Amino acid sequence: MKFLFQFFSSLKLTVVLLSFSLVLIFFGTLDQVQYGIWHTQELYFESFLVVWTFPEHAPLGQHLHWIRIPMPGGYLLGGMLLINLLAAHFTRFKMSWMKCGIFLIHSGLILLLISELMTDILAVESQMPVDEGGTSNYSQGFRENELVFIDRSHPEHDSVHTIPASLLKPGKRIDVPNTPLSIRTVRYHGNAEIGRATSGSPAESIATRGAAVRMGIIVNPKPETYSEDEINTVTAFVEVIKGEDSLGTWLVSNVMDERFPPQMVDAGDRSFEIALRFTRHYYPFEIELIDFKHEKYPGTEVPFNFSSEVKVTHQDSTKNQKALIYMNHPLRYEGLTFFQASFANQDKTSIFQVVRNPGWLLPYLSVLLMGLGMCVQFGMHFFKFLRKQRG
Amino acid sequence: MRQTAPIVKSIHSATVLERRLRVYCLSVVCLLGLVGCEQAEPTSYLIPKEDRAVTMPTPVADSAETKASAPTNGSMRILPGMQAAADEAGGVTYTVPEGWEDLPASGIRKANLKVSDENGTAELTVLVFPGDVGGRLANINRWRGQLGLDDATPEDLSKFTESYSISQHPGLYVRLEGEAQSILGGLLPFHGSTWFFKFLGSSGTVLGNEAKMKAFLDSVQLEDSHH
Amino acid sequence: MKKIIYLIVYGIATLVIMGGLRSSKVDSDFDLAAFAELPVQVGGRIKPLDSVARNTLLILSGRQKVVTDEGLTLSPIQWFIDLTMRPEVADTYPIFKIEFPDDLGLVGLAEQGQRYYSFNELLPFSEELRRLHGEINPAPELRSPYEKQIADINNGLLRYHQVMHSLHPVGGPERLDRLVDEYQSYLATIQPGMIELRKQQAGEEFDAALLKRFITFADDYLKLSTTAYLRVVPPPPPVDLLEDWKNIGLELLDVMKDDPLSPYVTTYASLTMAYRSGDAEQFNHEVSELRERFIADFPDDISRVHYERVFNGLQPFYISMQLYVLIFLAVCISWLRWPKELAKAAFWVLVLAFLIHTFGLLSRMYIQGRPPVTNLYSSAVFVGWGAVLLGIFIEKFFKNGIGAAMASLVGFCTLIIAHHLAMTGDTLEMMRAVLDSNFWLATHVVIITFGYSAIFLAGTLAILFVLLGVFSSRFNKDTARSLSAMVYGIICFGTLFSLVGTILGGIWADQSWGRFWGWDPKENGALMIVIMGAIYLHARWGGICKDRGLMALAIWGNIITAWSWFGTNMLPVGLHSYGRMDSAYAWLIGFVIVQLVLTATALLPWRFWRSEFGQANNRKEKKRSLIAAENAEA
Repeated sequence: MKFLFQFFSSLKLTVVLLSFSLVLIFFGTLDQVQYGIWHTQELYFESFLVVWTFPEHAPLGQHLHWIRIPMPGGYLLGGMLLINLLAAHFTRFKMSWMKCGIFLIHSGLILLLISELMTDILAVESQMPVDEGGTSNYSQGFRENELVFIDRSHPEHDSVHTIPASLLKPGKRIDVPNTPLSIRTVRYHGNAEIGRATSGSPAESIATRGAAVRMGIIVNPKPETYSEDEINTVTAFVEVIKGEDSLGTWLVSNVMDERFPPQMVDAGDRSFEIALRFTRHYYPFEIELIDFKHEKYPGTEVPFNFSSEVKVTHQDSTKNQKALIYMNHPLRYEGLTFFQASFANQDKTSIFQVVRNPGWLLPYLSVLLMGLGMCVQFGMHFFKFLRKQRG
Repeated sequence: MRQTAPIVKSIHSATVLERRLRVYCLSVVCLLGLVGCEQAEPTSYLIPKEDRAVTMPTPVADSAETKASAPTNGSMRILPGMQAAADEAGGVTYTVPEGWEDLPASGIRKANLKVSDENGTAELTVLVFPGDVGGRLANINRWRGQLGLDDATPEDLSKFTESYSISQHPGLYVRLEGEAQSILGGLLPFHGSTWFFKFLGSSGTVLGNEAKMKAFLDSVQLEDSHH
Repeated sequence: MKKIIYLIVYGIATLVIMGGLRSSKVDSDFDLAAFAELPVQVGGRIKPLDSVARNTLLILSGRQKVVTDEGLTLSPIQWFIDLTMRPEVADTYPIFKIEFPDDLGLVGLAEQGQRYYSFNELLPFSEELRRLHGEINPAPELRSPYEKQIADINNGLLRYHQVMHSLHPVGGPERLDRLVDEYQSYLATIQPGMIELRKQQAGEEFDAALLKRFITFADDYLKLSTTAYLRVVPPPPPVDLLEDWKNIGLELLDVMKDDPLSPYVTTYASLTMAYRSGDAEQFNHEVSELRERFIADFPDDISRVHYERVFNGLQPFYISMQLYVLIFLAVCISWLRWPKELAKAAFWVLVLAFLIHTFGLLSRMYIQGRPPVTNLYSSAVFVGWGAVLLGIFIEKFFKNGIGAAMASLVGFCTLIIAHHLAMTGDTLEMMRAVLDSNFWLATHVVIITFGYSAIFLAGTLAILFVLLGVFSSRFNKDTARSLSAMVYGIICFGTLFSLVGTILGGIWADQSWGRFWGWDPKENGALMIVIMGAIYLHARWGGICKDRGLMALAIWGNIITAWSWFGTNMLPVGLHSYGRMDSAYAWLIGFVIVQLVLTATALLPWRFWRSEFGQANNRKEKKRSLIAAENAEA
């Protein structure tokens, strides 16, 4: 046991772990060129082990493509650093005023690591485009998709039944909650090209009902893209089952959005609209975009300010609010934060980034701790140094 | 300051520290374990009535700032009196490709040809304007706009243009494929004016007649008083 | 005798400063200084014509002067005035820099030993150049040096063409000598021309000749509006700073909409006519009239525009750069002879150079209205400034010349880097929207850049330690100890600043984009610097590394910082891609290789270290292993 203590609390381990972190971050940054920021984050920083291969597209790539370097991933390094820090504190550090600076810095660091872990687990980011003069009461994810069945029969509200797309594994049968239906995924593509069959015999399709059949739609699977500027057209063939009877196989895709007429599944007494779309998060309030301003530097196209004037109408009218959202100035409302992200349609549509992160305050706390600790620690060192010089 | 063997200098006994360390290690491991349990679940919920017919704005890829687009000055102001200028520009002779209809020239159109086949119809017009009418990029983007395509940047041009000799002068051959319609064209700066040879119509017809279009361009002879 | 040393050093410094200031004087009857101060709106801000002239010349020639075939040297504003007002003369000036004309494959172009070509020399090849330009790789980062040259020449020709068209329509002497008359007749033609136009559209009888004259004007000015690069016509008062100015073509076209013709247009025309006919009096009169009008319309901006022109002439960074070389040499010589006098003289010149450097930074802040670091160029200038500041402090404490020498080395190198970065154009460019926050620019960016300064200085000191230790026999324990202390102190400082700066960056990101940390390449780079500092500090505190190892780590700090500062900008990824660069890739690789070689040198066993210090350690090590061997046997 004593050996384990020594191992986990040793400074040598700290230096080794830090060096591995340096290597991990470097190779992770290199790989961001081909995998994009988000996917690299998953591969390198939200994992325990990762292998870097020499990219084929880099100079000399064809010859050096066999080079593979395995390295510990972010969670492994972060976890061990955390243990190392805690162990060091409890075995080697005495509580003393001399060390309080370091204590503060390290506790700030621990809090930061924990807050980043919480962000990884808990934070949800989505997008909300709103037209000028229009309103929106939901936001959409950019990478997560969902299969939905919508029952619009009730006069007062719509009933949405959703299954996250990550659960759509071929052959697996899933019950659609609160409906008599269940689905079985026949085929699933992370990205595909969708088109209509041109003249000539229509291609065979797995789909037996819906738009695919009516419009002769063909699906060509494509590799998933990690580029920040491109969307993956998630597509699936889904068989809808009621009890023991199949109601047909439907083609659904997130590119078949509101511009297409809805695909209706007739389940006897109720009919449902079936669709695959970006995951929506509905809110108990509506955001109305009153005015969007896009100011450019005079005589140029370089933007210097985007701002959106919005009005928030909550179902509980005591929570209504007006706000101006612009760069570096988000709206924090009901546990969510709205950022001015982008715009479209020649300045007629404003797009907000919506972030739900219950731990958003933690980094600020940790920063406070670290700042205090640094002032104390380096202040002490500096004065000691000055006193030595004078003496 | 050297690192000596860690001397556990504290008033707590070794076993207490062991326990604490174990607890902390376990909790860190548990935290990390939570990571694995991120599975989402099927759910259902109610929402206020939605108007299904409304077209929602489509999601745009995440970007904190949108790429600034270059100012487009591709709108061609056809100032009247271009007719007078067109009258002043020289005449043009050409060979009509087989199966194409030669329509009479009118107004500022120096030539007008038509062709139809099973894919649709297409029309070729020959126009001339003084000056460069905004420049090569602007003209190509004007044509792209007619097909419903986005503006191209100067760097994109080499993808659908190539140098082409028309009437023994250096010009540009343009190949633009749209969804329903396409354009094959020729741009020829000619002693202070620009000649536009635009073949526009259903994609199938236009692209299927590419060879004949090129043959037409090869046959074009402009009246040339400069050399 | 010793006093002469001071005189020599101060004398050279004075010469350098005078030389820098003198090159801005221009001799002429024409009031070129006032002309140079005339304001234009380019890239979103109001600047003097002088800045436009210098930036354009820098882009085309890579330097801020023109040497004609007759051997005459022209200042930027002289070139500019010839370009816009006497284009037939300007076309003969060799200003297009082509490093490797033979590589272009254009038969007949390359002249032996000639690097600068005039427009007339390039004209016969323009069609060919345009064709070649259409064939090169559309993505700028992926072009070969040959393709880059083609792109540069074509862009240069385009820019030349655009700037030439900026003050008035272009034509031969017959046209330029009668510009004012042309405008008069244009104004007179508009009304009757519009009437004929309406008649023609209604299908009635119309005067074709009159209409054609009108159309020719309109078409010409339409072309001008798309070509003219500078916006020289401010909107009529009352004036809004955010309103677009118009270029000449737009203003002339807008007259058709019944807007009165701006007096700026006619005044520029008369300026041209006066210059061409050599009438200095008329020219100077018109210039002062334009100036008065600008002061009346924009009372708050005139002092800034004036200051910018004066600042352009002063070139403080160039002066500092030369002084840093002087300081470095003086300190090096002081280690061989006259130690006290040269070191003291060098120290005071260092302070002077630092003050000039500071003056340059503050001027840029005043002109731009922003904190000191806004783009890659200003970050380079600031890194040098920070390193010199730290060096001055070190010198005050240790008094052995090392601080001064290494600081001036870093200062010189960073100013050279900045000089090359300035080749892309206006370094006082406007900021993108998300960066438009003076608070964060003043805190996060400045602090992180200061962190760079510190790490580079520490790395340079470590390099000195290694080179002296391995190659110089006189390097002793005292020097080693003080160098070691310097490196340690500076790295503490640098790590502190990098950590604080990175954290501030996280907070800024949280306010802008909704997340504290996004694993963006630039963020990763900053984190790598903090981790590097932490490794050094923990290695030192834990006794894991001694002198050689610590110096090696400090040199690695150079590599990590260079990667973070430049390398991450070269990756086409992420939200931080504001400072784009295409050509410094080879320099970065070269720098890294040199640092790696130095690291290897640092890790050489003690017996290879020729210095006193190295040999002493070697003996200690041998003794230790002997004792250990003895103990093992016993």
